[in-house]
Amino acid sequence: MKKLLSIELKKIMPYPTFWIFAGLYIVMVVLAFCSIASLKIQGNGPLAMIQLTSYYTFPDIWHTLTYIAGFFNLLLGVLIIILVTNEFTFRTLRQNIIDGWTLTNFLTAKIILLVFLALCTAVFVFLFGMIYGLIKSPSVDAADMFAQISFLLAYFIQALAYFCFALFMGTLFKKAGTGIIIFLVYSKIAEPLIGWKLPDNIKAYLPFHNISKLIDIPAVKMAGITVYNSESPLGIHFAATLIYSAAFIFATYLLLRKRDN
Amino acid sequence: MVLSVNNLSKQYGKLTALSGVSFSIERGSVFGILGPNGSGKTTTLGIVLGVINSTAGSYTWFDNKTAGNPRKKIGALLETPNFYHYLSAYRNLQIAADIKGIGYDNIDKVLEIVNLHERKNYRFSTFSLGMKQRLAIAAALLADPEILVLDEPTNGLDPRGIVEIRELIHAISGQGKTIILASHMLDEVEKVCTHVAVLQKGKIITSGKVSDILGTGDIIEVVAGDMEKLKMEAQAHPAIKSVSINSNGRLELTFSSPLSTAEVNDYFYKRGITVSHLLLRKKTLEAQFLELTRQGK
Repeated sequence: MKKLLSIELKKIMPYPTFWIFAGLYIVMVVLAFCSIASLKIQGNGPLAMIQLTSYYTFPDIWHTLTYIAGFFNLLLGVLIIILVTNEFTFRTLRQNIIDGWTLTNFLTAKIILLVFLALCTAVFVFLFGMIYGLIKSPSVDAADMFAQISFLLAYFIQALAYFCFALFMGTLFKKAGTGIIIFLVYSKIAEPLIGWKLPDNIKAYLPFHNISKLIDIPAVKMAGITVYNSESPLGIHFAATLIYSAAFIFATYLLLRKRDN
Repeated sequence: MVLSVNNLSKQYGKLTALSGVSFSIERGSVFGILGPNGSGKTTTLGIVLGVINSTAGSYTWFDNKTAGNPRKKIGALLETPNFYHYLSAYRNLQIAADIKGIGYDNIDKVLEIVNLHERKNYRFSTFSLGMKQRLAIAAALLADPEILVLDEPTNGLDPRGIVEIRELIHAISGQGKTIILASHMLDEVEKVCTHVAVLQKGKIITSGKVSDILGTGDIIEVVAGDMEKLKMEAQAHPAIKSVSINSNGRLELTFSSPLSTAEVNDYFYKRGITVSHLLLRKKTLEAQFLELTRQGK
């Protein structure tokens, strides 16, 4: 397993595009979080009642930060599509097999890479959250600091599910341009449109809706605003996310198996 | 046997790319797969290398006697050089070495063999077609494999590169290794192979030793003062199969059983014809190839 990961990292570490996307993700998360955190609500309406600062201090910072960082998983999804489609456009999947890998080796290596990258994002979010939280929290006590740290686990699983979907898209379309466009169109346009007319308790289980349910909008909890009519249990969304991820991986395997490479 | 191929077929929709291809390759031979473009050479090699699914048939490497993936013991170049464009030659070979489960000791050596050593830290995308092809050959040599599969290895190479690759193939087969070479060039196969299978439209139309299949068909050119008489006498000879006058105005003779130039000269001399030009020529490769493929129809 270590061997497969080291090969995958050898493929991408010298790749400028990889670093551009990784850098962009980090900059975007930091910028987005810092600028949202600096927003002030003015006036006397009910919104002004919300204690905004508590969003950005321990322990709620984990919820807010993972929620905001979740938007930029899309960038990493695009990166994954590029990495996967490269294997087709360079015909290096073919070469890897000729050199002695099986299709299972190839797919396993990719999955390990996705887990590794998802882990990296979670570690980055953790480090950023710690630094920001330590600076901004009025009083720092360890219990507060880690009280909602489970949001990081949710973030990790959310990122991984995104990446598995991107892996499938890349394999299905084989070309970066097509893969990325369909990925974006599906996640940002098609699924919201499909969800439009569906009852909430079904809509919540569409792939991207379901993934986003892992970390719900922080305001729901803070202001008592209910965004969704039916609250679906978190455990089931976790299970559904894992099932979706497994399904995307299995579909990727079937595609590779069926096709001539 | 290093490779046995049994009744392999491949269907692309309605198109039959291969039908019922069988052959086996002995250890130490240089086996040529000869055929025009689109005859199924790459499809055959792609199937035995595990990247194309066959519709029917089977193949076995090393009589199924190796532990692990037999492809790790094969060095192969299939159709195009396939590398990560943004990685240097050296890093690309590191990945190949990792997949094969070998160390990096051989990388510099194989890069030297193909004359790419000075460019080893350059990105693959900066390479010319010939350099890419040579890097692919280096990758095939990397694991010091028992079998080398080379699909059109001289593609994109300049004449000097072609000669170098042929010398390399000779040197490698001299070490007792098995080489499988696919080519559409008859002279390439004739020069380097010991055995050959000729493919046409997905079928093997003939196979065997190169000397048996490609060695026949010499031509003798003759010129004399009286060409009409020469032609008449030539047609009368029982061992002369065909008589024709070529574009240079010379008489071309082919034979049903071999005759030497001395015998031909003697034959005409005895009939009062003094031959002013007598030349033994190998039949053109193209002509021979056309003849082979015509037989297949």
